[in-house]
Amino acid sequence: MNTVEEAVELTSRTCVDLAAELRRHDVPVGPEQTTALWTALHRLDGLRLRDLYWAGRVVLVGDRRHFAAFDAAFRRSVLGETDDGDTVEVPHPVAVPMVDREEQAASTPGPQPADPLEDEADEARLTPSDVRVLKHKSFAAMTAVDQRRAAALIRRLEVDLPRRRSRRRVPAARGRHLDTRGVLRAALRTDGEPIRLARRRHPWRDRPITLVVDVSGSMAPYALAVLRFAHALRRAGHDVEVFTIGIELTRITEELARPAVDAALTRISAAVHDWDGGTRLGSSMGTLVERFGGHRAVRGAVVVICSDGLDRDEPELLGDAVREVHRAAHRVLWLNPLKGDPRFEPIQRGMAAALPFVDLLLAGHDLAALEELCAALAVARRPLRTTTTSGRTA
Amino acid sequence: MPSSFRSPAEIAEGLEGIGYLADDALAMAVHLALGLDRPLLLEGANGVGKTEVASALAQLLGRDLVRLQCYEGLDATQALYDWHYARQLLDVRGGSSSSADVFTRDYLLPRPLLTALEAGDRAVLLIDEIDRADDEFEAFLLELLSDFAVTIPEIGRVAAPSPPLVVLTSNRTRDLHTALRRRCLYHWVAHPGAEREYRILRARAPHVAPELARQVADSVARIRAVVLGSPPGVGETIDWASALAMVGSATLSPQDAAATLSALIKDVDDQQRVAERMADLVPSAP
Repeated sequence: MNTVEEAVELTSRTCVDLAAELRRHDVPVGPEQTTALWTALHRLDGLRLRDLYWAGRVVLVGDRRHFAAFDAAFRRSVLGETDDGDTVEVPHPVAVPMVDREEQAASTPGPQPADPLEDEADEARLTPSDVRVLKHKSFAAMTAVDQRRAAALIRRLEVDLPRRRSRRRVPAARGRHLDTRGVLRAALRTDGEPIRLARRRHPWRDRPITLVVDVSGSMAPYALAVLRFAHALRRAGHDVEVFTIGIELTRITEELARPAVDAALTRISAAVHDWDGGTRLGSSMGTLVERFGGHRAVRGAVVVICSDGLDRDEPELLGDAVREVHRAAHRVLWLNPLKGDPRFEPIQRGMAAALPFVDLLLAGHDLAALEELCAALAVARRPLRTTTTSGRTA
Repeated sequence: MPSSFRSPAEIAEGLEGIGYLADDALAMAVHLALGLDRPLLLEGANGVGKTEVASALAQLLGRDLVRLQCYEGLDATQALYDWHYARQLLDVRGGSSSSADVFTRDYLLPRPLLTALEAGDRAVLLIDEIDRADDEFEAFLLELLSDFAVTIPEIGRVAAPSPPLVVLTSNRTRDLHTALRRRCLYHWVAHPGAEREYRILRARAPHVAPELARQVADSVARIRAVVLGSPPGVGETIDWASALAMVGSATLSPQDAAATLSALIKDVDDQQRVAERMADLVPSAP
């Protein structure tokens, strides 16, 4: 067995093989990185195995998420451990953390790209009365045909996200700040006499929107509609992050980045392992806080949680997590399909624990409810927000 | 100037000499950054000493530390260069210069990036918390990091005479672009283990008795294992050890730990969580 202090004989194959093995593990390695490693190793006298390990990791891996994949590739390519070896399992040697699984799924090609014109054809066949009926039909009651038609309508939803001032200063016709550069440029044309004072201002920026979608069994039809909505937001050029919660937290923002919504959904279903599974909302949300609490996906963002609040964790877990999210985020909205029923009371224990930290509780069970969400976001866009502090409608 | 350090071990030794304890991976990363003239990207939780790496390196290599603290809205005029508009305007109005002569090096105000470029290998450039700057600024850095040169439209291309050592740090509040990652060497700075933290305490807080330092390091390692909103960093460990030494503790007791906890944990919820488990985290002296 090799030890870390063992001397290594270096050939160019060592680097090339290691890089190739890494690519097999879906770690992006460019040729210039391979060359850099080759150069780097020549700078080390008396190359030992641990030098090769650390140098390889520092040069070839650009993200902590890929460390486990590197370990596996290193064992296989450098130490020559094979699938038969007792330390390595078949076919993916390490227990890859969740994020890496996302990466693997990302490279799996979807079955066949959906025809983008198909949706439009469906849409064209919709009469106004169809639309009216469809708008108030719960996603759970929709047939496959209804769902396709609803998808077309979802794509047409227009969203104005809440904004904030960027810290940048850009030249503008009017603004609070003097644009010294512009003043000088203008003055040079008039022999150094500053006649026109150029201005700068802080431009508006849309806040990012983060959708946290419950994919447990009871939520499946609604989750699909919300994911379509997320896809539409992304296509419209908004800054969208999407997570699924259920048994665990999965980040699916990358998977969503497909032009055709069906291809995106296929990739998402490959990446999300707890689809239709159990409900551990509290701990999934806890993971969100722990891993993304300081990330821009939560901090300063509009967070929309889509769940029926039926949770098998202790309700305090969910309450604590939503409180933390509420602290860091700009606004927290909750879509609860159960609210579509007029007799709804937020009495599910998880829902009740989270409610004090939710700015706005909406239904989100049909198209009309999604429109309501868009309207609520548009209201929050106005800089002077007078309604939002007391805006919780329970 | 080729580095005078021939192996990662020499770098680790040199850094230890000035009070920074580097592990194998970090020593290798620095060694390669110097040898390959590549920027070094350090990621890690808050307070694990990412910024310290750069200042320790500057000291070790005898170079100037040029620091660019990133923040939202940072742009080229604050990071790279700006023109001295007031002087330009006065000189043009005074008639002593025509409009063409006021865009020369004399009127240029170098900002950290340009300063570091011009200093070349006499500088260590620290681009701190790059994740706080926006995407546009990150894109702007790409030319600088791959070619160690920038283009100023009025003057032309300014290239570093020799590449400076560049250290970037990130707290992962935003996903950095792959293009940036590819140009850099990457190292994840983790919280030190109890043994290394003990050695850090001995180096950085020599007034703390060895026995106390050992107990502090062990307790902090246990505290970090508890799920906290913000786990304590190395700086806080040093503060805590100093605080304990100041109140005259010879050994760590749960009572003293509770009394001085505010030096270690800076969040009321976290403090509560630690206080509840104090008996397990800080064992009472036998």
